[in-house]
Amino acid sequence: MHPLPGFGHSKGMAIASSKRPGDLAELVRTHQAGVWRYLRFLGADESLADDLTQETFVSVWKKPFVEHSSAATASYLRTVARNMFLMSLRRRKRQPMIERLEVAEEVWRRYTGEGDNDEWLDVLRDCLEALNGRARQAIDLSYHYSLSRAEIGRQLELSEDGVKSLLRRTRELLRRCIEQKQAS
Amino acid sequence: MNQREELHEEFADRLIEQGLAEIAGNHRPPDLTARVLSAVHAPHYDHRRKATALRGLVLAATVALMVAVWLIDQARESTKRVAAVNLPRADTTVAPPPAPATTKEQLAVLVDEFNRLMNENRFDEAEIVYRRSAKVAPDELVVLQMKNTVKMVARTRKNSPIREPAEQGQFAALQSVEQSAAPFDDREPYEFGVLRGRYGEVDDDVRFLRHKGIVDQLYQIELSRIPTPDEPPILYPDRETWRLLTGRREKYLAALVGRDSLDGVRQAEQTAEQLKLPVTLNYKQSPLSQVISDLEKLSGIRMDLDEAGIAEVSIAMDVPVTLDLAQDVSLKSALRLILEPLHLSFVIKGDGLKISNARVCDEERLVIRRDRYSRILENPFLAALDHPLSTFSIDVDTASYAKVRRYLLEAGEMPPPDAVRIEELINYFDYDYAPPEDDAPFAAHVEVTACPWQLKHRLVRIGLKGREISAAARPAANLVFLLDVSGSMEPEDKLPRVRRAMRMLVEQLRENDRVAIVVYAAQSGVVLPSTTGFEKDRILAALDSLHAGGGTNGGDGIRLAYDIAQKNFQKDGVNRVILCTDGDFNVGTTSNAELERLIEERAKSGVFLTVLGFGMGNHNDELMEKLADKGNGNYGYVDSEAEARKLLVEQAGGTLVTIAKDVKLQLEFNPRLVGAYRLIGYEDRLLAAEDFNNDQKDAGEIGAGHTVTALYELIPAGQPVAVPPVDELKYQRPASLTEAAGGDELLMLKLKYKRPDGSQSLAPVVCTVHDAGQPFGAASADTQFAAAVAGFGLLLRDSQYKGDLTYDAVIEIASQAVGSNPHTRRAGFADLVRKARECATKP
Repeated sequence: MHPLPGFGHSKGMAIASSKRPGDLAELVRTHQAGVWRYLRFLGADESLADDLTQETFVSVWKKPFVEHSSAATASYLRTVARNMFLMSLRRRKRQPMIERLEVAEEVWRRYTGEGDNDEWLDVLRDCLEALNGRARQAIDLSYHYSLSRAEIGRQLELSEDGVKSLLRRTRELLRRCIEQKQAS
Repeated sequence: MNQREELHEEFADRLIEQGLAEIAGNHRPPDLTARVLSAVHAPHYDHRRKATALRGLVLAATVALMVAVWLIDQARESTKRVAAVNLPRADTTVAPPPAPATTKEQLAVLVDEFNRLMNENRFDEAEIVYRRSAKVAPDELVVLQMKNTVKMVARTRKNSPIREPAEQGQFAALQSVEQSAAPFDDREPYEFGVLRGRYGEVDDDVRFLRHKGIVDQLYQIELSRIPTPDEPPILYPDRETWRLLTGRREKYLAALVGRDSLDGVRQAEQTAEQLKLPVTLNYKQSPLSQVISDLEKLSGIRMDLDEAGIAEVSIAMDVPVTLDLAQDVSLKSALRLILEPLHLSFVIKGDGLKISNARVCDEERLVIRRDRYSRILENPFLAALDHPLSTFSIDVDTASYAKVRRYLLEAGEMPPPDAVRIEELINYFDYDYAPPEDDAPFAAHVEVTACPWQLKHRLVRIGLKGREISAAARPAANLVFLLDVSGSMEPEDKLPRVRRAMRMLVEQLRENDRVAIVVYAAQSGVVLPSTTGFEKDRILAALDSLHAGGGTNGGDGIRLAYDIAQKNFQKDGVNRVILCTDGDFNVGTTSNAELERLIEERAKSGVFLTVLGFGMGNHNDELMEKLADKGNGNYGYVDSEAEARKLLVEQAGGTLVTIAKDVKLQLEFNPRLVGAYRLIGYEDRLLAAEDFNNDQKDAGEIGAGHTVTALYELIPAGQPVAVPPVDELKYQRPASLTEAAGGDELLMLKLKYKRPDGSQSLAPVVCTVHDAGQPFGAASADTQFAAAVAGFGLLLRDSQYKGDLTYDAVIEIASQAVGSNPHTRRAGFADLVRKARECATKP
């Protein structure tokens, strides 16, 4: 049985919150995408990412919390989210891999920058636009049309392994592209 | 690369992949704002659920204590059970909660408690809390809500243990269906007993998977069939209600079937019930009639011994019966034990039993006939201007007449319309056409007269007569009897009749003729290798040794029979497979199409085919006619000894010796004189105009002495034609009449054929026909008789072209034609028409 949501709202039994919902809504709207992406990046599946994003914001909101800068908030949220993720791993009795998560955080900072905005995605989009030929085709077929490797192979006249390595090489190319653009 | 760098690579790649999924795949993060807000504001948010175990224990104890206190207060019977369960958990060291002051506060605490218990899946306790809340404030909205929740939870909990295994079972069943559908390698079909080298193992694996899948599937289906729980229990109505229901049911049934038959049904039911009576029997060499009359007295059931039926299988009424039963058996089993060794059986008739031979009983039991006929769509009238040519293949089959006769005389019912093939009715009879004077294999005779059922129409009779070959001049025969000995052939009118018919044929054989006998049932085998007419005794002995049993795999038998015929092929002789069957092929390579192809292929070797049909009940007329057609053959239906004699003795020449094959007729009508025409019968023998000159196109055979008759009904030009006119053509002018059309030629007849061993048609025989305006009364007796038979067919089929014809008119015409004709077979025709008249007027 699931809990019955909304039940406690009636007839003044709810514990009135002293927090300001308007602010919370804004905080969530600003940072939720980043937190969710980060959780997915760490390895959470979609529904776990949904749950943990929610728990992250709830837990942050329950503690005294002052916003210094957007970047600091994003970083703080990421830390909380990472802890949430670690806890969820523990709960499922999976060996939490702290080292893995450290590397993940490092990579995340390296490519997305300190801030919690979609800048890196814009960069990636630019790099993708610059791409053409079979590499671009493979990316579109795989990510846009969600075709299997076998189907892509049939269209591009490649073996499945060929498709796999083409996609991997293309992703590497895009990464170099992001690195270059960020350096400049 | 060290491990950390590898990890770095992995995450970097994952990040790009994630970015691509979002940019290219449009896989955006979800908007969780509302969810977060509601989570923060909901008082029973998750963090409570994640409260420490200690806190949970304390709370549980509190609740239990509260319940206990409340129990004492209220002394409510219904909650005792739950409380008793929970009492041991109560920790007495925990102080009871302070009593809340107002109703509202009290309620708030209860609701909170309720939510918590629900979250912890402690539904029974939650229900108690709800009951308390209902005490405190029964009309509060929130309490009503609690009530609904409790109800819903209870219902869901009751259903889920049923639904879950059912769903699981169904899913598992589907999964094993998937498994059992493991493909089968059709390129090398599995043959029993044949080792396959390396492919054999693969096949075995696949087979194993399939079998396992099927077994799993059955098991899962079993599992998913969780029965409905008996809650609420089914309430059976009392006796009185049942009685009323039964009365109403019987009233409707009686209205449906009539009072009498209902009584009959009820009697039969009673009799069947009485047959369960346990009996102990001990007989030693007692006469059958004595045993049966004892049983009659013992059980009180009337038992009629059908003397004729029993005599038919050569069983005397006082045949000794020995039966020693160690224990009680039912009367039914006892009867079986007595009758079966004697090839007898019994059938319930109303309040008694009828004891007779197995065939009679089978027929009594047979309610639904399974005979199969292909649909016949009658030829329509065609306008001579639009369709100047009419082309068809001859047909010497006669089976339909014998079938019709059997329906009318033996079953006493009208034959199904599709069993009536008019050309076969007409060709059943002999006609006195003059045989050819020259070397030609046959002669053609045409007569034109008035049409007896449409006096303004004209009737054209075309008669072919095959050259007669005397028995002495008959070429040496190489025959293979292919006999169906499957279980369905057991009745008296099947295998025993086949045996007698083949005997007749064998009696006529000469020393240089050969006969082989192949039988088929579930398996086929050679009963007699090709044996010359010197050893008639051996042939007859082999025939006598046949008995019926098993399934029917016609395909293999046919192959074997053709092999033997080809091995003993007689050049310039008669090479023929004679297939005797009830036409029920049910095992092996017997898709009908496959059988037809097989026979069509084998017919090219020069071996001809005769198909003789026997019996009724599961007779596949359609298939047998097709087989004869494809196999350069003829098809007869043997409904009696007399019919066997006609086909195999009197007309043995025609049945055995083919004098011309692929005989085709083409008529061209003169549109100046003929408005429209209609070919009567031959529906499945029609050919396209261009097939006439196509030697590849198979057509009918004609045997020595055979006569073939075809009738056309013509509507003279100028008379109203029931054919809708075709619109005038835009790009062509209608063909203008030739000079020849100006003459008084009614039509031109062209005939084409091949010699029996030839593959090319000879030059066509052509003749022209004039209409002298002869009235029907002046027509030859042959034409009159053929018209009468055709008319009979139209009536039986209830044809739309029967005009004002009646059975009486048919009898009148036929009796005149019989008078001047020596053939006695025609005399039986009038009797048959009378019987049909009787059957047709029956309700």
